[in-house]
Amino acid sequence: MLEIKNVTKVYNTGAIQFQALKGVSLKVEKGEFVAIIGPSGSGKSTFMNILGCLDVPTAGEYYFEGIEVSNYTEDQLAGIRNKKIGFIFQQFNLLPKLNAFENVELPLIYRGMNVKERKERVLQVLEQVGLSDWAHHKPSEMSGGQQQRVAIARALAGDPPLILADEPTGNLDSKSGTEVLEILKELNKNGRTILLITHDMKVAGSAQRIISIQDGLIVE
Amino acid sequence: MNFKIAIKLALKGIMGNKMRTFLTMLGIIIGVSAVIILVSVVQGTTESVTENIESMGTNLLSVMIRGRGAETYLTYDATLSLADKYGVAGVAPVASGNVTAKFDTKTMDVTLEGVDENYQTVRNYTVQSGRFIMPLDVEYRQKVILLGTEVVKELFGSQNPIDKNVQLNGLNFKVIGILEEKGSTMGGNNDEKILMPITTAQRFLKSAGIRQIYVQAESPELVNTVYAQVEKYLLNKFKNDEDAYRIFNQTEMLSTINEVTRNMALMLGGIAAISLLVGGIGIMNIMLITVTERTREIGIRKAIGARRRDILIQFLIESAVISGLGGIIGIIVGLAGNKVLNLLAGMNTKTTISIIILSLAFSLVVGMFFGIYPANKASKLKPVDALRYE
Repeated sequence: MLEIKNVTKVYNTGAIQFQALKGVSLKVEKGEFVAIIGPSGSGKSTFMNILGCLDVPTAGEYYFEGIEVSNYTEDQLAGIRNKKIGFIFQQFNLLPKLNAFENVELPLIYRGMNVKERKERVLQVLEQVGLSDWAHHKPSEMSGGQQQRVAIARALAGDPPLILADEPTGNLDSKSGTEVLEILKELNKNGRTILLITHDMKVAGSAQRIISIQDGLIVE
Repeated sequence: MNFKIAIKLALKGIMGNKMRTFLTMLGIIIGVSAVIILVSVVQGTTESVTENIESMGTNLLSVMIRGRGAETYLTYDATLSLADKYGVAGVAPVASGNVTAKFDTKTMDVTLEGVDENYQTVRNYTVQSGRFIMPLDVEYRQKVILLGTEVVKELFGSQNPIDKNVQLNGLNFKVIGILEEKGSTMGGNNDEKILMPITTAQRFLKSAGIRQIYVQAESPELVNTVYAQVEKYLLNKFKNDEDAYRIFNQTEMLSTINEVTRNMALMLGGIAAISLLVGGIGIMNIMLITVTERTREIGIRKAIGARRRDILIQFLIESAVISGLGGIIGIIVGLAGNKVLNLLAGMNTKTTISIIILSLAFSLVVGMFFGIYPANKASKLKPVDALRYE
């Protein structure tokens, strides 16, 4: 599914060069549930950005489903993100002016799906996360747990093989957090690959495999 | 991303901040309505001036005789010989003077013009009731007159003046007709005058001479030919003294006026267009702020798969919608302003479809143009940076 070979990432902040990743290699098989843990400043976020095709590595290779994407253009990466990856963020990252339905619909609009198919698909995933009755509510009218479930629905709308969850429980109470983790496990059972980024060992426990990252290097 | 949704999203974004959107639009609204009102006023004025001039008759030359030495006028027969020249449609000599008209107890000072039957066609006069002067009236020096509408109003009030006798300087003249109302032109009020047969006028005014002649050409193209012939005739008559006469070319005057007003429309429209440009800068300013404010939104959109083009189009459409809506409101305000000017100030305004389309198109172009820079800036944001923005 994913293969990363000796990836480095260097940030140029004015005079100082900061090496966030110092040669990381990782292979994730299809259908795996992998947790990546590490303290803040460990390079965990940088790693996630590269895995999520939000950023490109300074050096090294990245194969996504066997295709090298490390030198893709910005728009090509946008295509990968749209079709292959579903994002779940700590901050939910829903658009506040759109209601749940429209938020979930957005990736499908960018994909160019027609109205009828879109509507069908959005209602289907909203039902899957148990929010059918909340389709026309704005995020501000929902609880944190509900907002995160809308975000999950949005991630699922495009039916991507990979779900990338960045601290998905970080802003939730423990009950909602458990619910979200249950949904992730369920998704994994249905054959989706899950990458879970967290600093919380308890959360990471849901995964089958835990990868620890420290100072820009993987320490298994 | 499809267009309809893009516009829907843009409208949503715009409606989210109504006050700001309205203030941004205000520049465009003022610009567009100013263009429409100013150009309409100029075009309306041009139209009424042109109409006014054309109401005097078309393809007209107006000849004033000052004379040279003892020869201070032309005879009636001499003026008629001009009618035989090539391209001349009609000649209307005029013997004029001022008289006091009296009917019953009312008196009025009016302009008297002695004319023949050609005057009606050459000067484009119509008779409201009764009849115009006939060749027989001229031949037999009939003591008959036609009245302008102002004269009728002043002397007769609501009575019918036809077949009544009016005293001019104490002599009785019979009213045979009333002229159609013509309004004022540069030559003075056309409704405050009395017409009578030219031969009668020559005797009545005790002057045999003709000092004013209207010559009508058969077509606009022939005006210059006729002008040359009339000038040649007059030069010959007054022994090459160019100061002895003056010829006004109505067609030339019209084209001069048209040129002046066209330049005026361009200038005023241009000045108003500058305010449109300023409105455009306002749009750019707000769009730049909007892009900064919505950095996170842009990041989210990019994370879930928006390409650069999608973001670019989204912001371009937003600025186009602002300027387009502003343009439409501006047109409505402009048309309403025209109406107000028309009703309150009695100004003649004329709005053509082309100026409406032009100003709307210009406002859209301004919106798009000034939207390019902010939209491009938004589309270039890196998803990682944009997502991290608080």
